[in-house]
Amino acid sequence: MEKFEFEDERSFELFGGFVGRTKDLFSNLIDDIRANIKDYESRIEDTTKEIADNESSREKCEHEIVKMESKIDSIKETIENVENTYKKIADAYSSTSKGETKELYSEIIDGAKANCEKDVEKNRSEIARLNSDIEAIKNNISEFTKIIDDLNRDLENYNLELFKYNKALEYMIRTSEKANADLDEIQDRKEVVKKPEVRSAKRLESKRTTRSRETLLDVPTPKERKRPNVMETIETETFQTPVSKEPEQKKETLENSLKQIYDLTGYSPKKEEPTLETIEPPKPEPVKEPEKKIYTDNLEGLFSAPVDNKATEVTPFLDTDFSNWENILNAPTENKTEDKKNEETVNQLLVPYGTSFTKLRSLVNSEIVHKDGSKEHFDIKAEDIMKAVSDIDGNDLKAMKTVGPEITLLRKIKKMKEGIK
Amino acid sequence: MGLEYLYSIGLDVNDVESLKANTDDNTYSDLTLFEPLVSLNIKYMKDFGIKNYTDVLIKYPGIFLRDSESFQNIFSKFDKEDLIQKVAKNPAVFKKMVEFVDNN
Repeated sequence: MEKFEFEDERSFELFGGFVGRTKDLFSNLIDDIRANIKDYESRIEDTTKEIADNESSREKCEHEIVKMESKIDSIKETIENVENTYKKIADAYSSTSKGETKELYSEIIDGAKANCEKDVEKNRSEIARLNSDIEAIKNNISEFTKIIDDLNRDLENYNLELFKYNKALEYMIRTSEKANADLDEIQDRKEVVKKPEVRSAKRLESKRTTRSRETLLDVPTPKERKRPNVMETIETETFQTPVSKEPEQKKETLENSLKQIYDLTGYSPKKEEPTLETIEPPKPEPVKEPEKKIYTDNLEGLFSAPVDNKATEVTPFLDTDFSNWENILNAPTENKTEDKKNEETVNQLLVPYGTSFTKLRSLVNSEIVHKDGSKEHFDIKAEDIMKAVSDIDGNDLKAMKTVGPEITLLRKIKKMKEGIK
Repeated sequence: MGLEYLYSIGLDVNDVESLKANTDDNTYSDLTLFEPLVSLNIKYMKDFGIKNYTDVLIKYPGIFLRDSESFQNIFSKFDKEDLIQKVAKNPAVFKKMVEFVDNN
């Protein structure tokens, strides 16, 4: 279940470090969530402090306005006093003025009037200045209010996020504990599964040596590759292993291989798409069984994936259409029938990736334009896809998991074509 | 053909020039080759309600080189209004969201 070593020093990892990696994944997830919680707690603290600061500034501004308004009132009072004083002076002198004194009094009244007007003018401009300052401070207050509202909204969001992360952490810890228990169980079964796998790998090698080497000329020889690709894995696990012996083991291995592809590509088989059951040619007296889901996206489902214990069922599609895939790959496409056959083969190959030849072709243009303006023709042929699929490695599967299988395959084809150039 | 198809999705000459300046040759050629896929993804983002989708495209063109299912999956993981609001404030938030989805 982990690492398989063949006699010719080839080795591959079907579920290499699966248990350890999955446990690490859970542990990393939990660490990430904890880090996020810490981050949000710190944000909440900062935001609360910022809100308090802004509220304090807003309060200061409000006090300042109160002080200024009181000053304005006081100035207005002063103006009133000055005007009253002037009136009193004018009344006192104008009522008693006679002859020459009239002129003298007149001068006094005019002087008082001028002083009064001067004072009033000065005080009025002071009021105007204070009013303008009050307006500016009011603007500041409204800015502070806006900032406080925004900060409160952020605070609310942070609190919500924190709540979500806390819930997620709770859930992840629970899930992780359960998954770890399941993984330990899988780990315990490792040795039991490993021994027959090695035997089947040896048989593959002996059978390979008897095969025509010519068909392998255009593809990398097994010794050139340290890690087999997906097609090899499928072939090793299904095509080459004699089914008469240990059929249960074989069936389970095929399902594991497919399951691994589905898991890494994020694809889950649909009912109408060809699966093990649909690809098999009908037997003389087929026994109908309820269709079992090979893979579900749910981790728990994955761990408790149904294992088909029927030892009598063989997978003949591999012998008829599929087992010859290397020949198909290397055979020259001389006519249209051959092309059509290739297309069908490609479609079969693309089933685990949830796409088809036509779909892939529809996602690309007929030419590539480079930054320097140079252009080149681009066309996808069935052979390109076959080659790309047969060259899929761990990095590609990882990319498929994140960006999707279609773009990964297309980019691989593009790279391959650029490499040929 | 180049990136002319982006004009019909709402980008102008300056946007395309900025995008060109912001991409390496490999990403640029990918954007020209996978036009149907990129167009689909941009339209989805636009229809989703992200008004500054051009900013996101100019700054992070690589994000649009994903299968449409994988691309749409990013949006399904977050609250719609919150996502639109956050990305409108800062397009880099979308990049962070993509990384979050990819790593989880």
